[in-house]
Amino acid sequence: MIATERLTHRYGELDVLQGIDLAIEKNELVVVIGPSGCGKSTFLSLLAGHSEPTGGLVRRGGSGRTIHQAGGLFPWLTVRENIALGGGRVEELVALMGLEGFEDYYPHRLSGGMKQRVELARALAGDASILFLDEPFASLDYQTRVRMRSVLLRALEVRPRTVVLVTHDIDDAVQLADRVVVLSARPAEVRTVLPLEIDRPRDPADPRIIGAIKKLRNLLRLE
Amino acid sequence: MIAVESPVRTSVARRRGIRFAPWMLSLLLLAAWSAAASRDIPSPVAVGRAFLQEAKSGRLLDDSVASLFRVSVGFGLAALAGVPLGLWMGRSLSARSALLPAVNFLRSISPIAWIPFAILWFGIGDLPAIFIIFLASFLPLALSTMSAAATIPQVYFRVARDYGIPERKILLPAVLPELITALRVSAGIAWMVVVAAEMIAVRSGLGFLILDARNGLRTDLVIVGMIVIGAIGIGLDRVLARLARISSVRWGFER
Repeated sequence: MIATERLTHRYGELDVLQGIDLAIEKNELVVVIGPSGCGKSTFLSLLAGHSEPTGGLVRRGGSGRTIHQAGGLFPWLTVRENIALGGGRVEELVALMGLEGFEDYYPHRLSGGMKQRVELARALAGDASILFLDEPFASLDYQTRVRMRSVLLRALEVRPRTVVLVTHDIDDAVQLADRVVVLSARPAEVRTVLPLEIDRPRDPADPRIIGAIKKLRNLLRLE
Repeated sequence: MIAVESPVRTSVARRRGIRFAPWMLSLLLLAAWSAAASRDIPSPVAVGRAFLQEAKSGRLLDDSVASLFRVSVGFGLAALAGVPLGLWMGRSLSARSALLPAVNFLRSISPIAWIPFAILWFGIGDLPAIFIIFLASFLPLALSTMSAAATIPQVYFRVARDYGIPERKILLPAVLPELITALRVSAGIAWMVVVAAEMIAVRSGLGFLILDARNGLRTDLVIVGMIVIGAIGIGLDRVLARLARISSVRWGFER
């Protein structure tokens, strides 16, 4: 669905990405993790086509939508109007995300978790086959994070899509990913790809999950 | 019961106090003014008498309408030209680097300095006054719009791209709250300049009323003119402030 070949990127004199080769299958959920400032967000915006790489190739086999860390809802539109930008099925998505009763609210009146749900709903409305998520749960408290993960998984059950999620949170990675891509410090390269073939929802006490957390902690600490 | 009621009562009393405070201050100022009245400072009573006289003759209303007309046209033209120019300068780096020095240069020249040219180019009548008012509000409005457009978060443009929304469709809603504030400020400037603009080449308007009163040594009438200008200025601002109640711009005022 998405493939990169020798993907490199520099900002002026600064090498951000150094030769990343990655192939992402259709309907796969890939979590990209790495030390902060390593270029994860740059990588995602190159995958999404929001910026052009200075070297290498990105191939994308479908249209994508990005959910932004900073919050990409248009503040001048209501919840309903924002979701409607994504395409039809507004009522269905409102129900799926548990946003009933808030359709006519403007985003600035909503909590952080609700804004993220609206943004997810907007991205899921319509037929975009790829979702790019840039630290989507970073500003949320622990309970809301856990809830948002299950909201995302439920939405993907209803309609499977290819997902690339960038995070610095190991819990996000082990709870969600089919594969975890670990990037090194800048200039970022793929350090390891860790497959997680575990059914969801995943039990945090599952020894395989605990093992994966340990492994990722060690990899990230090495940086 | 009393324990529950008393904080409510204090807060009501406080709210009342806040509401009456400006009136109290006005009364105080009025008293100070009365005490200071002399040969050079007309008393409030004299000013009140002059006000009633002018109001009865209909001149005050005619002058206010004349001034409001010139400000509306001059400010309207400034908005029609200044907002698109500001949006363009805000979004296009080349437009900004080309035009900004000229805009900043012209901005620091008082519109009053243009009066000789205003008369030379537009003769006498409404046009030179409208031109001066236009000059006074056009550049500040363009600059505020520019800075609002230049600081639109990048994420909105990325989202627009993902969803196939043309950039121009998000430009105006994204700057609207700041634009409303800019309109209020520049309307205030336009109204302030009307006095100077009407001291040339016209024989009506509140500015002319003040000029005419000065020539007749009627200081009481000068103050009548000032008071009416101030009152209409507050009124104009109140009307424009109502724009901030539009539901799709509330986000800019409630953060």
